[in-house]
Formats: sequence, structure tokens, C-alpha cells
Amino acid sequence: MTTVEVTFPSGGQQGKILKWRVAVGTMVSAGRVLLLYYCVAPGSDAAKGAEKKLRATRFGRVIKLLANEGDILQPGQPVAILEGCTHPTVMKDLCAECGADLREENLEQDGGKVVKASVPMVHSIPELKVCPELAEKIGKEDEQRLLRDRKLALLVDLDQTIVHTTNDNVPPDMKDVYHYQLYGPNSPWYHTRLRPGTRHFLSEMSHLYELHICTFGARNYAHTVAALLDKDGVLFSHRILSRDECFDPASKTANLKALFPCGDDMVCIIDDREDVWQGCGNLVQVKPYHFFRHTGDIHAPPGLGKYDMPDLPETSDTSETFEKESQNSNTENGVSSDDTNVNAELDTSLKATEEVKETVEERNETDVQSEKNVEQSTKEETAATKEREKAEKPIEELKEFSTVKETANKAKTKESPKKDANPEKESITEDEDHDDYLMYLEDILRKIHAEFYANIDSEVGRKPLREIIPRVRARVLKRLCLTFSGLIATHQKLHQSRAYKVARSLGAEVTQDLTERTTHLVAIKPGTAKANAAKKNPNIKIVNPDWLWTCAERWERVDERLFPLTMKARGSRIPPPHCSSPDRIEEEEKETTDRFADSINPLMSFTQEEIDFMDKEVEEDMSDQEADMPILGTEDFSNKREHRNSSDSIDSTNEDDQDVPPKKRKKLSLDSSSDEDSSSESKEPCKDDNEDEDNDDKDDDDDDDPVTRFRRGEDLPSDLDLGDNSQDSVDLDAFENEDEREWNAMGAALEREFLSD
Amino acid sequence: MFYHISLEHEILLHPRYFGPQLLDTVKQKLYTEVEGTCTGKYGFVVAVTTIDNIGAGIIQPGQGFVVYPVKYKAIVFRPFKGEVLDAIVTQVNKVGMFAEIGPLSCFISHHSIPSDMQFCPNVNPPCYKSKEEDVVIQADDEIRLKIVGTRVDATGIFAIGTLMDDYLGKIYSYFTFFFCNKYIIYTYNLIIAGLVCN
Repeated sequence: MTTVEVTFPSGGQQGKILKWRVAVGTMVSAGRVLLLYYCVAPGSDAAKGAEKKLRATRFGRVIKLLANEGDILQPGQPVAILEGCTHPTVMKDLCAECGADLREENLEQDGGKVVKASVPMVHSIPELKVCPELAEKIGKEDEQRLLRDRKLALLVDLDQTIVHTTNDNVPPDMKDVYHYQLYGPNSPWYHTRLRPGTRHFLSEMSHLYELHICTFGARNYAHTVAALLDKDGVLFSHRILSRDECFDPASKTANLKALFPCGDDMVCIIDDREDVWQGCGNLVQVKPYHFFRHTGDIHAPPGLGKYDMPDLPETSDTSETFEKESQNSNTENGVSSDDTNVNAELDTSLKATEEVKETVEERNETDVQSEKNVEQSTKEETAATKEREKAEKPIEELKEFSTVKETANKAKTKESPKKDANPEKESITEDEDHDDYLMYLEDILRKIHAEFYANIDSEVGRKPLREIIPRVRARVLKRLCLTFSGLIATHQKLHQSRAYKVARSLGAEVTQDLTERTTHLVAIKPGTAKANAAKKNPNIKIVNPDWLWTCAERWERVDERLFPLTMKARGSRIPPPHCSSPDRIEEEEKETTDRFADSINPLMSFTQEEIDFMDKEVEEDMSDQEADMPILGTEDFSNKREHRNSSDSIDSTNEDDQDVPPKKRKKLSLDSSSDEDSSSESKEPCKDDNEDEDNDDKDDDDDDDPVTRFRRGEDLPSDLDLGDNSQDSVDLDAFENEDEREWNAMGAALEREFLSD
Repeated sequence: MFYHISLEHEILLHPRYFGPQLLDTVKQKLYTEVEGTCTGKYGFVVAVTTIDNIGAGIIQPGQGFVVYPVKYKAIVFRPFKGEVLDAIVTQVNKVGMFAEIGPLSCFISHHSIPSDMQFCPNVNPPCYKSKEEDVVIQADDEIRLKIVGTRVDATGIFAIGTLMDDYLGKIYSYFTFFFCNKYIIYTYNLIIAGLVCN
């Protein structure tokens, strides 16, 4: 940049500087007073004439003063050096400092000089750009101010986060819905509903955060909604970023750098979609707000359309509705006496079958096996319930059998009667809105804010929010140890499953199998091996997956009693999209935990497939052993197995590696089911005989493998004997449905793959 | 600066307006088409004062439309570099402030605001405040500024202003000046006190 010397006017007299009116670094424009002087006669110090002003003749920044106050200046002597304008602030290609037209200047200099100002710092005026240095300076000032006020910056998304807008026709008399036209009298009407508690939320948050709007809506829309939210501009002021100012139509991350040139250390983001932030660690993903049916996010970025319109109601609040449904169903059952019977009976049958199978299932450690058991048990249950509906007698008996457990179950349902009436109301009037998510969000943001300033107050010093947010999140389920049952597909590795990632991001420890440290079992359906094993342990709470999803959504440890594992209250296997956590953070955490896990559990160093394979072989080995000692007290045996299992599995695998050739899956599953039979048989005497009468006699074991039967210790041609063996019906079923199940498994796997992509 | 100048404009008229009201229609059309527009050369046309001459209409071959050349006088507002103007502040932000001089919008950079005035984002509305807090510039205030550059587009003119000169900055209307200036109130109180004592 060219520099110019300002010279004392030549042709005049000597002058003495009275006072400098500028300092180094001051921007001066043409005509600005630089210094005050008075003329002096040569040789003397006496003032001659009045005080005079020396003015700048052109624009520039003072970089050096060449004379001090009190100096005598000769005519023509340089007094200061001015640097030409660097055009640090540019508005519409005009330098906002000197007023020079940069388009002309660029033409003159043949593009030799590049416009340096490139950062649009003001949300709503993209034409106003400042140079990176100035942007950083302003950013730093902002940061200092925020720190002084003990605030953070919060970027608030509008659509589906704090409002829901539709341009469909809606009834005009809806409560708390604002109607407006954006583009003049003949333009379409928009209808906006604020999320319940939005105003309170924003006003509370404005004490802790500087609020910015960051939306993909048009500028007009953003400003209109901002005006709805706060009329006086107290909350957002002019900090509104809309689609018109976004650099990238599909991402909001690009603008982040411009708005916060000093980095996003103090920026927290609330948004219902993660994709537009591209895994930014500062994001707190919120549960999408959905009020108008059949309308998604009308301002979704192009090509990233959120969901199919009709699907949206389900996807957006799966867990919430599920919670309601489950509770509703429970209470419904409680109301009508007939239903109670059925339900109670269902529970009992469940328990009965579970107890029968416990011994076997405890041995089935691999996912393959447990998955099968799940299916078998459910089949049993359904079959059993059908029968019970026909015949009433056994019900009574069974009911007595497990009254204790039943009452426990009932207590659980009574825990949560508060939301009972909600689903009915919803169907009647749309005005009722049960969304209370902002309450939880407020808590989350408070925690983040507190954590940030707690760090500053302590010796730790300032930590960027992109580290703090995951840390706060990881505190939610800290010191809990989860085990999944039926949640993860057999072919999928635990560490790659989304459920695992969600749980890890919440700070919970996840183990493949139940251990002494396990505190929670997250099961997709009752009756799995793990569920049964966990039931015995009073320290393990059994919940359905919605518990985990709800925890992830609210960032708090939700009461487990709200999510009991029953036949009807099954959670969804896949976490709702807003519960997913950015993978990036996951990776960091995983590294450390893996190392820790390696040190204590050698099994972790094997791949999942290896372990699965080992377990299968152990299974076979076990069934062989069992054949030798069929009358052994299975209860004790199984217990013993349980203790030995983790360590033995490897040893036994190694031993039997050569002996047992790997079998095909079908065969294996057959083995396992037959295995089950034998155990149930051995347990039969101590169990009630109702089972036998209830179950059909129609099933034949013609297709059964003689070898398996031999292993079971049965007589080979004992088809008739098998007739009154209750468990064989299941066995057969399992066998017949083998193909179907395989198909189902494949379908589920495909679906999961698709969804995980 | 405002000028009262003669201008010309061509009015294109649809044949359905042919009739006794034809000239009225032409005049009406002139007002709607010309007032409020902006040209790079003459600036904003504020108001048409007189219509001097409506020339002979020429029928467009093949269309039936008629073109009337109209000569009129209008008041125009043409901002110039170096001009001092009164403006109303519309937005204040950390980079500077925006002001409007009628149809002309203007930006004043932070650096062109006297350095003793600091941006205060925390108060509502945000403002620039001098250290002694006796001068506060916020949205809807009147300021006097000097234009240092203009950008003339097809649709309008944009200006860059400065407050860095003598007598620029916030201006008070008579009322606010009289009642809000603490020195005046102070002397006023003194006078009242003197009267009471006497």
C-alpha cells in the first residue's frame, strides 16, 4: 500500500506544533485536522498570529508522526506519514472508509489489486464485508464482551426447532397459530405455530446466551418469524441469518466462520437436523417439532428433503408417541377385566416359558442363538395366548402362579398415569400440543453454559464448546453399564451399531454380555436369554430401547419405570434420527475405552465374528456334554456355566477346533433348538404340567434329525412320546420357519444397512 | 442536493384509453411512472411539479400503442460526494451503522464514527455511545453526515458516509435539545431556584 508524507505547508512561515489531533493508527479523511500550530517568527519562540489547523489533504491511516508537540517546523518539512486506505470495510464494492469505488479502481489497476475485504460479518447484510484482520478484531471484541457478560452465542434454527410452519390450508381458528403473507396481498398464506414454551425458553436463554437466528428460510420469512417471537428485537436484534445470506444452499457451516471469525469456541447450535452442520461438535440436535400434519420442513435445503411428508408424524416423535401408546395400552388393560385376564395371563405364560428355557438360554451367548431364542419364545407366547383365550382353566392356575410378578408389573403401570388421556385428546382437537421438549432443551443449554463457565473459573481454563458439549452429554448415563439384547443385528458389530454409538455418546459403558457391572439391559422384547438372565439379578434394570432414545433426546437419565419391557411396549430398534450423535466425537471416545476394555477383557480383542464362531462351537460342545448327563440339575449346571462361560468359551473352542467342523447355519440352529428341548425336558418334572396339556399334540418330529435326538438321549423312534412334549411344538415351528426367519433376518439386515447409510 | 429541472419521458399508451380523458391518463401515467424512480444522472425523482408539454402521439406500427413524448419539470434529489445531509439511523451494528436520507441509504463505517464513540451491543436497541455517555446514537435517531462516496446502480443509489468532521453526528430537534440537554436543564433549574429565592 502506498504511503504519503504529510508536509508542513511550504511557502509559509515556521510553525510550532501546539497539539497533535491524531495518533498513530487513526484513520483520517481528507479535511480532517491533523494538528494545531501557530506561526512563529524565525529564531524566536513567541507566537505570531492565531492558532492554525493543519488538515489532511487525502484519506489514509496515520502510521508515523515525524514531529513532537512543541517542535518548530520548517516549511516543507514532513510531519507525518499516512498510509493509503486498505479498504478494510467494503459495502457494495465501495470502500466504507474512503468512499473509493473499488470496481473502478480494479479496472484501473487491471485487477492487480485484490479486494481484501471478504468476510460478511453482519448477518442480514451480505454485501457488507470486512477484511479478515478487522473481522478477527471485531470477533475478539465480541468474545470479550460475551465473556464479560458470562454469555455464550446460541444459533437457533427456526423450522421444526422452535416453530413449525406450513403453507397448507389450515383451519383459521387454531389456537396460537399465526397467519401471514410474505409477499404482498396475493401471495400464499403461511401459518406458523410456535413450539409450546418458546417465548419462555427464549427469554430464559437470552440471559445465558446471545441469540442468533440461523435458518434456511427466506430473509423475509426469517424476519417475520423473528418479529413474531420478539416484537421489540430484544432477543435477536439484527442477528438473523437466512437463506439469502447463506453461502452454501445445503450447509450452514460455511457461514459460521464469517459470523465468528475467532472460531466457534463459544458457539452453541440448536437445530433439528444434523446434516446441515456436517458433524459440527457444537450442535445440540433437538427433537424436531411437528405440529401440522403432512407438512415437513418447508425450508429444508434442496436435495435434503427431510422425510416423506406422510411419514413425518411417525418419525418425528416416535419415542414420545410410543411412550404414550405403551402407557395407554397398559391402562386400557387395567380398565377392562377381560383384558386384565388376558394380559396377566400373557405375562404368566411369558414367565413360565422363560423359566422353562432359562437353563438353555443362559448358555446361548452368541447373538445368533439369542436371536433365535427371542423368536422362539415369542412364537411360544403367541401360541400360548391363543390357546389360553380358548381355555380359561389354566389361566386361573397360572395366574396364581405368578401373582407376585404380576403385581410388580401393575405397579409399574400405575407409576405413569399422568399422560393417559393425551392420545384421545389429540385425536379430537389438534390444538392440544404435548410437546414439552423445550423444557429439556433449556436444561441442556443451562448445563452447557454452567460447564463452560465452571471451566473458566477453575484452573482448567477455557475449553471450546465443541469439547464441552460432548462431555456434558457423556455425563448423562455415566457409570451405567448397558447391555443390549435383540437390538443389534447378528451380522453387525456392536461397535458399529447406532445403539452403541448413542449409548457411548451418553457416557454409558456397553458390554456385549451381561456382567456383574451391568446396570441396565436394553431389550427389544421380553424372553430373550439376556432378559431372562437379567431378571434374576435385582440390580439390573430391564428397559425397552425407547428408554435409551429418550435419554439421548433429553440428555437426562429418564426414569426406567416409564419404559418397562413388556410384550406391547417394544421400543424401536433404530434410534430416531435426532438421537444420533456426530461420529467424529464417537471415535475419540472409543479409542480410550477400547484400550481400557482390552486390559480387562481379552474377549474384546477378538472380532465379533470370531467370538460368534467360538460361541457356536461351545454350544455344540455343550450339547454333547449334556447328552452324557441329562438328569443333572440343570439349574446348578447352568449357573456353573454362567460363571465359566466367558473364559471357557475360548479354551473349549481351541480344544474342539479340529474336532468340530464348522456347520451350516441351518444345522446349527437346529442343534440349538434341540438343545433347548433336552433342557426343558430335564426340567419338566419340577415344572407344572399345564404346559403339556395346553400345547398342541399335532406336531411331529418326523423331520427331526436322528442324530440330534440321539444326543438328547431319547429313543430314536419315539414320535409318540414326543407328542406330549410341549416344547417340541416350538421346536418344529422353529424348524419350519427356519427359511422364513432367514429371509426375515436378511431383510432386517438390509433395512438396517440402508438406514445406517 | 435538490434540483428543479426539466426532464423528458415517453409514455406508452394502450388504445383503450383513447377518448376524452386521454391527456389526463397520460398525465396520471407520467406521475406513476416517474415519481420515486432513480437515474444515475439525475438521482431520485422526488416529485413532478409541472407538465410542460405533451407532444404528438405516434402510433406504433403493428401494435396500436401510442407513444407520447412528455416534457415536465420535477424536483430531483442527487447526492454528491462531500455533501452534508441529515439522515435517520436505521440499523446499528458492530461494523458500523446504516442511515437513510429519504430514498437514499447510506452506510457509515465504525472507523468513520468518532473514536470516542463505542459500540454497545448489550443495550436494546444497540447503539454507539460516547465515553461520557452524553451522546448516544441508536436506531431512529437523526444524524448529520457527510457523503464520501456513492454507488449508482440501475435501481438506486447507495452512499458511504462519515461522521468524522466538525458539526457532524447526532442532531437534536428543538424539543429534545431543550429538554434533554442536561446543561440547559441545569441552568433552567438555577433560574427557577433564583426566582424562588427572590
